Amino acid sequence: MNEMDLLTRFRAEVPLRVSPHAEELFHAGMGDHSTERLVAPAPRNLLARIRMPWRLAIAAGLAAGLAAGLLIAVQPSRPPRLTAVQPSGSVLNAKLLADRAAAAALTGPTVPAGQWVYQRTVTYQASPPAGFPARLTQGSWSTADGSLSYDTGGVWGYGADHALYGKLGSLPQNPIALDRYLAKLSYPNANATQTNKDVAAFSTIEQLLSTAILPPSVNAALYRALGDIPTIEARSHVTDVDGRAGVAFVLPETSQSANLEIILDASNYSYLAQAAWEPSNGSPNSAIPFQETAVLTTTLVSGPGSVRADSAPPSPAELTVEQAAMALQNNQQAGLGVPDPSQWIYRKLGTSGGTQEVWARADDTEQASYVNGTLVTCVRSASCASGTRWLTSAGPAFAVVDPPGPRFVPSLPYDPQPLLDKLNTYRTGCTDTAGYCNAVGVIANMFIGYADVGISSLTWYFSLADVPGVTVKDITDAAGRGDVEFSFPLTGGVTGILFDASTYQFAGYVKSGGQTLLLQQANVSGPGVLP
Amino acid sequence: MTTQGLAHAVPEADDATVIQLSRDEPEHFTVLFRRHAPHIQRYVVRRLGADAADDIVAETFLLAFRQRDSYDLARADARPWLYGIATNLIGRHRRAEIRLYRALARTGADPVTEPFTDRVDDRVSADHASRRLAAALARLSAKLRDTMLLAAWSDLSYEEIAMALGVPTGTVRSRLSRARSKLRQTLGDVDPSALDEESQS
Repeated sequence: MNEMDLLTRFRAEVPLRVSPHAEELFHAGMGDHSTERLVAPAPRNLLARIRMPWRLAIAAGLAAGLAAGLLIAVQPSRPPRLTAVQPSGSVLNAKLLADRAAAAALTGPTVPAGQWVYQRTVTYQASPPAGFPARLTQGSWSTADGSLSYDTGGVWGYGADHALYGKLGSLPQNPIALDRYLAKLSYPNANATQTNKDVAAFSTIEQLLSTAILPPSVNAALYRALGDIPTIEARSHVTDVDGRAGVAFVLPETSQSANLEIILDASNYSYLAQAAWEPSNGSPNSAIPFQETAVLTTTLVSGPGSVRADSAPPSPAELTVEQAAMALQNNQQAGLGVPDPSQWIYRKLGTSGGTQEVWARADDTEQASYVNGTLVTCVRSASCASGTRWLTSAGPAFAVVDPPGPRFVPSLPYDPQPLLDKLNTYRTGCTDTAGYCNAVGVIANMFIGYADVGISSLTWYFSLADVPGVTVKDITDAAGRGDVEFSFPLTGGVTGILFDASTYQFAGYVKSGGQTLLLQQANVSGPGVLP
Repeated sequence: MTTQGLAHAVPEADDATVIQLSRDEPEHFTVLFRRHAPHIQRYVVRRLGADAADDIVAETFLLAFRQRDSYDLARADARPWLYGIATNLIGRHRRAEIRLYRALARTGADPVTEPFTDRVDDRVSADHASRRLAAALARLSAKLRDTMLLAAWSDLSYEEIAMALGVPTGTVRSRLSRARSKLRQTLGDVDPSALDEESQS
């Protein structure tokens, strides 16, 4: 099944029918128009229909004693829109704010693009979807350039802005030209309206500021560009959802966007939060309930899944794995995918003793090879199996990797370091357990023997980068292929794992000084069948 | 308001005709709602869940109604217009949509389909592939996701999706191919037949 079929079936249980409530809302809205009166339909949720500042004030009153602390914390950041008077002596315009923010940004640290960053954020939504709290605190990881991300639970992602980050060094320096450039990314054709362009430039800058740790000079350029969006405003005395004093860039609502805000720290102009909200303006259904995402902490860490502060720049092994992640994304045709456990796979292996052809099921429960010209097929429990060298000779059984049943609950940890620790508890016959020799051996076994390694294979790659003392080098393997070798300072067992230098697919391993190379592999219909 | 008689009044009328009639007699617009609201509702529910959908569906048609004077009557079929408005409104709930995908990816339980599963027995958790798919959808950019989900769930042609999103047809094609390869990557699905199919097209 391809991704389109999968998508067509995804949530297909949702019935083809209009809900009575939607119909009621529609007819209520139409009812007013049929007599050309502009009267709002009867509100379902009174609070949701009231202009934002008052809505929060009322909500705070209603909820006093319940969630009052939260609501009051939100309320001061939303002065009524008509309050145009700023406190005396602090008239803040967007250009002034842009200059100050840019100057502050220039003093910030330079973080390498591949550095892993852990961010805790809090998202507040005035009307969250069913089952979600109004206030949600989450932690997630990404590389500083936003190209790779990781969420608890083994969810890897690729940022949309990688291409843009790559161009940051060559962006226009002039703020107005930069706005034009950013708007053009969203509207390559000439027919965009000024509003289109303003919203596009603001949104792109907002996204960059909130998802990437940018070089100081780029940060500064983006703040200056914000200040030059024609309709941009500045607002002082804003409070973010975490209660911190801020100042904000505001893009007032347009036909296609709500009020959009970027809130900076009032004292040092560092980035705090982004918010969106829209007053109802007599068109109740179009009001966007207030929502805001604030960054609580930003920590440089050693890798995805780790929350321990570590500002050491990424190691060559880590950078190689990040490159591998991008290569794996761009080359989906390599590898076997996720075959059924019973699928037969043909593999041609190369060692110093020559090549060997092995057929095995994807879960390595059954294996076949030619012995003296006769194809011998064995299941693990059979007597013929005693002389067979199983591909996955040690490590977690396939049932641990891909547990049967409709509910996917992997028995191996999701995060790279815990995975590495767990793998090191399996016995592979080596002795340097402190050097993670068992884990390295198991990973080699898994890659050569199981067609599906369960949780995202990226996690396995990142685990390798966490092995103490790991180094990477480009090599030409015994089959003449260009590989990247991850070398481990181990005295026995597997001491190197090889990946193709361009696709980063598994290519083989090094044990006792000799290479075992995966020369070819393909899904086939049964033992003895060649691809 | 009765809508019974209206449907009979314009039994064969295409959307453009209905919209034209509604410029003088607003109640005709309810025909458009009856015709297309179930499809729009299903599309919105699949992206944002039943609770958020009601407001968005009603607002889609009310917004369309308010903009009916500017509708290009040369376009007989109003679906691209309506899906376009609905997609814009969904865009305002981008974070909520992503949270729903992530909830499914993490827990295996889908808040979106839960209300439509009648028997307790049927509430099995989503399979591995659905969870990976949800994780992948959460990671797509809004533009790629909009394009991809319109292609998968709306019955619109590429040309109509282009109309709905206000972009050239070529952009729809390139977005779809990018979105598909991103999904494929996260799914780890390299089904050779799927790849063959695409290289032939």
